[in-house]
Amino acid sequence: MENSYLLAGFGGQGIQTLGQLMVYAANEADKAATYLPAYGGEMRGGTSNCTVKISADEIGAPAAKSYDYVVVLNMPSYNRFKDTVKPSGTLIVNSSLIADAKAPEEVKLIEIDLSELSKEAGSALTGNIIMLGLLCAYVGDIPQEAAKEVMLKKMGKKEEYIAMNSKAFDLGVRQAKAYA
Amino acid sequence: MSKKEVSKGNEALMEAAVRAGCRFYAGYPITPQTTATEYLSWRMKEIGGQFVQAESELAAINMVAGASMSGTRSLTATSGPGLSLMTETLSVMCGGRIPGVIVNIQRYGAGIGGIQGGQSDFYMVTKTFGHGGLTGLVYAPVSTQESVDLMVKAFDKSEEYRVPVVMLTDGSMGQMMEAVALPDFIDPPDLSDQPYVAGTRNGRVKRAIFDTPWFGSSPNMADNVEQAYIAYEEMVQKWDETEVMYEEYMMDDAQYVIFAWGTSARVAKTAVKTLREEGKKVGLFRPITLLPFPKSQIAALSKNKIKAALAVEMAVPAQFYYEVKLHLNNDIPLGSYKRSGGYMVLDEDIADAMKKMM
Amino acid sequence: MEKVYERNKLLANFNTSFCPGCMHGTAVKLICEVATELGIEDSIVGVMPIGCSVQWGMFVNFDTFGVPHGRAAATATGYKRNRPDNVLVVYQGDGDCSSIGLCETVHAANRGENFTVIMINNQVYGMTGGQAAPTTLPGQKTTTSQAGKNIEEMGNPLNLAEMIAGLPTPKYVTRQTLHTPKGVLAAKKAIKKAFEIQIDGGGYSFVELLSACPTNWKMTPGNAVKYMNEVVTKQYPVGDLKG
Repeated sequence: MENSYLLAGFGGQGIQTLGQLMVYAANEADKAATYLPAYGGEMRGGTSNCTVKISADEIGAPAAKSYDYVVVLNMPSYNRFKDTVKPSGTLIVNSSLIADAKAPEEVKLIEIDLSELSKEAGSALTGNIIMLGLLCAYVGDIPQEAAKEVMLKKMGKKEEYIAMNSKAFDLGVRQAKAYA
Repeated sequence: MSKKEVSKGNEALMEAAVRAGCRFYAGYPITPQTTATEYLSWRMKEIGGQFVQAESELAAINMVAGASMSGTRSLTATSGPGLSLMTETLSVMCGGRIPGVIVNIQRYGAGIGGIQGGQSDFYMVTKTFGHGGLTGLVYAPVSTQESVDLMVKAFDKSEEYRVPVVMLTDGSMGQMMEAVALPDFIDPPDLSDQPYVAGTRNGRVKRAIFDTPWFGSSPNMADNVEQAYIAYEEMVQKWDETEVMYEEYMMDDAQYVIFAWGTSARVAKTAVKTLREEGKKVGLFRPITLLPFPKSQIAALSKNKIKAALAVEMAVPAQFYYEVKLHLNNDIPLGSYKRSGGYMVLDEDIADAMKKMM
Repeated sequence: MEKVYERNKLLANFNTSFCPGCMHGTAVKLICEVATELGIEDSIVGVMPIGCSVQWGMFVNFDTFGVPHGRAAATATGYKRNRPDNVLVVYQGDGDCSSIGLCETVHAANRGENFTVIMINNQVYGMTGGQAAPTTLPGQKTTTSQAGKNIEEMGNPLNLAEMIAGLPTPKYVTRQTLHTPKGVLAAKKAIKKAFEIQIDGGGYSFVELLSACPTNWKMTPGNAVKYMNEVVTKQYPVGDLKG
């Protein structure tokens, strides 16, 4: 079983960190994973994006034409990548910056208000951590515990950060239940 | 082998060099090599080695040659434009039989090209190292894991044959992160008695390390040079028997073959899996050494068994395709799927291109 | 009978192939004499560059290594960083050092690499047949400035020693000449000082030595000496520039 992810937003939304944390977490759970930062001729339009693959077996191609999960956190990313979801895949949009999102037929659409939720977590910068929690819980290929542990280890030692990120991750997990 | 740790491709490869006993690095920053140079800027000091940020790639490769002539395992990393600048010295190192490892983290295209990955330096390192027609060995790992596994071998072979060794990765491999098991540490070898090492006299009178084999058994310089080049050619020809490395994946019953190297081969593997799931008998043939190229192994593929083949590469115009064509049985149709401009080859497109030939 | 002079043991036991009136041979001999006096016969290592100066490697009984044209200071950097106990002499001509190799020369000086660069300045490319160099004097006739060097087109003479002396890092920068007995003695002293700095780990030294090239200047050796006295040393004044 191999899952492919395309993660996109604008610089500063923590997209690259999100992709890297997924790979760290997958490795903790002894899964194969690749992270490839925005790359090649498609690197235009002011978006920051990366691709992640997670699998029980060896991974070949680190990028693809279409993805199982496409996560878009701003409007330019939505416009560019909304049609790169595989049929039966899932498009996850940040509804605080993307109004009236529509998914192609056969694609499941998840709208999540990251601005609102990150306020609840305590910082506007925690959107990517909320998304990490959501992806772990919703997709299920990265164990939540491993992901949370490695995320807290990588995201700074200050107690206030730990509390904030921990809360953000849990909010993402909670949110995932609403879409299950 | 240590436990697998998530690492950036460039950084893992540089760490592998340190573990292989490399104690000198000189490099000039060029995207997408910069993370490699940055990593060794502190790591070499930590391990008691030397790091020099060179004023240019010209200087960097000559610092490497100088370090090799001090008996130190030495390394540089660069990308296409930098490799172009280094070629004169690669030629000098071949002629002077001076070892050294050069990692080329390829970017695409000619001139400044672009900073994204590519595989368009294939011809440049497989035909001749600079002017003069001498060559060293060229390794083309498919992944970060294979690149770190090949690092010790790159140094060993460079010293065994006294030639520069090039390792070709690319920008995507360099920036990609995945779990890697790093090789164990080995001690730097004692090379002080090697004929290319200066200033370690041990009782002898003098040693002149020169980039052309003028001096030899004959008083006639021209004869010495010619004899040395004949011996060089014999050495390179023997590599066809002793140094060729390649991987065959699902080739046993294959009726269709995809040829690819490096990152393209990694992507092609996914295409093979997809096509196999559809019941198509497709296999992958992947050269690991580009020099020596697995000539006889490709030539041995039977036209009675293989119906068609496809060469995949991130280079336009194609290069690898023509090399495969040179050795593949002429009765086997060979297609070409290639991308440039920084676009990575995609497994869906590879599968489509292969299917079109069925 | 008391032996008052003998051929230096570091010099090969045959004649050099330098042209009559060329002063490369003098420079090589001085290097060998200084090495003997300092007792570094077993630790001295030389760099063979490209140009007439490459030949010095044949005439000395210690290890030397060849480098591509202009890259001597870079190769030397890689070598010396790993063999800090050896005394490294980077021996170059003015074309190699100040034209094609200017970048490497200046950066090695600026980093303060602990070796000694000795640049023989004869104002022409000797080995290739007397073309103009950055050091060629205004109006000087060479095979690429046949009507005399026009500085409007080819630039002024490059006073490399002064340039290097302008950097904060180098420890010792000097220009000496080999065309008079007094000059030869002073040149030897300069080489010795540079080696001593290196042996003490003190850093980079640059020793420029003015030489004649009667063959390419198309002069007799005697006239070449006179020309050096009257013309060359006016453009390239002799003396310590730093340290």
